[in-house]
Amino acid sequence: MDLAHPLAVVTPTLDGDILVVLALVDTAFTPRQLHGMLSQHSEDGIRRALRRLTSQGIVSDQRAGNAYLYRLSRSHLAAAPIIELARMRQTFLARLEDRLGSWGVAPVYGAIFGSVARGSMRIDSDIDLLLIRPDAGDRDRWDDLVAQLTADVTAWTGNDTRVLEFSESEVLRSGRQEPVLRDVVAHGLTVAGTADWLRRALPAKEPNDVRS
Amino acid sequence: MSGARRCTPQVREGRLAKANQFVAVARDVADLADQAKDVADAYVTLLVHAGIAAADVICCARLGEYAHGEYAHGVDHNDAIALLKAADAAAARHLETLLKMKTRVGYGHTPASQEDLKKAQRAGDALLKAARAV
Repeated sequence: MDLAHPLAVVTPTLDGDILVVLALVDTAFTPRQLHGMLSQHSEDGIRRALRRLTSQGIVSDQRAGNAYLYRLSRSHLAAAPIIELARMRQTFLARLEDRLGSWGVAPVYGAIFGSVARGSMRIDSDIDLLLIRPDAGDRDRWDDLVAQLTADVTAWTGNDTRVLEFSESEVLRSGRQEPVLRDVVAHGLTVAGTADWLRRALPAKEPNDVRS
Repeated sequence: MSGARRCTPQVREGRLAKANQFVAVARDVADLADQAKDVADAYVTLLVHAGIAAADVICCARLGEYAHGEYAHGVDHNDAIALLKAADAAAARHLETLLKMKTRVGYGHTPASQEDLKKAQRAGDALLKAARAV
């Protein structure tokens, strides 16, 4: 699946992308405003899709001067499941946080990075997950938890899951030589620990450089 | 909202880069100081700017427009908060916390307190996290 286009799991059409915008905020939009947010689609196409959705009752229109404003009809029977689908990216991150928070051997830090974090995900993109393992703790248990999570994330999304794992001491000792960790600092979506931990673990300069 | 500007992908990307930059420099300022209170006002001010940039990203993603320019003139903070509230009510509360501090730490003569530091850090972190996740 593509978390940037969550309704594509049920409809690979413009209608799905419009519903996502309308579902995530309780605000009315003109077709032109929607075109500004969905610029890969034509404004005419957006108007036609809005008419289809209005005829289904899931979108309501309201005249404002010469323009029409459109919003999701939140009383519609289909509104709740559509909102739930539209929030899939947030649900995914929250579920990951919950899972990692439940581990007896909690990660020092965890983050989604790569195309999911950068908003450039495609339907066949891998899901990249960084996990920093604590130095202390049951290693076998940790490996079991990571393997189970990897399988579960793939089952949740349909995408391959790639876990990039470092130990806490590896990051502190040589993490600044890993470009991928810098990418996580810049774009990562934290799902365990705090982003500040990773940033502090990767000083921009050697301590001596600061005063040179 | 009056004064809201239409957003482009370039604006969204640029505002997120600035939010990241402000937070990173805020942390560096705090790390390099002998005492946190020595740089409290600079630290909070940087987090306020990070929060404003993050709020713009959220508004861009959800509403296709953002409140750029309103803050710069020191007016209409309420409009900016209202715009963000339409996009993300929880984020709007964090922005409100930061904007309340903005004028005092930037132009007042009393230093930011330890409590201000913690509140600004919590609000800034939450806004940046939300901005990255939208």
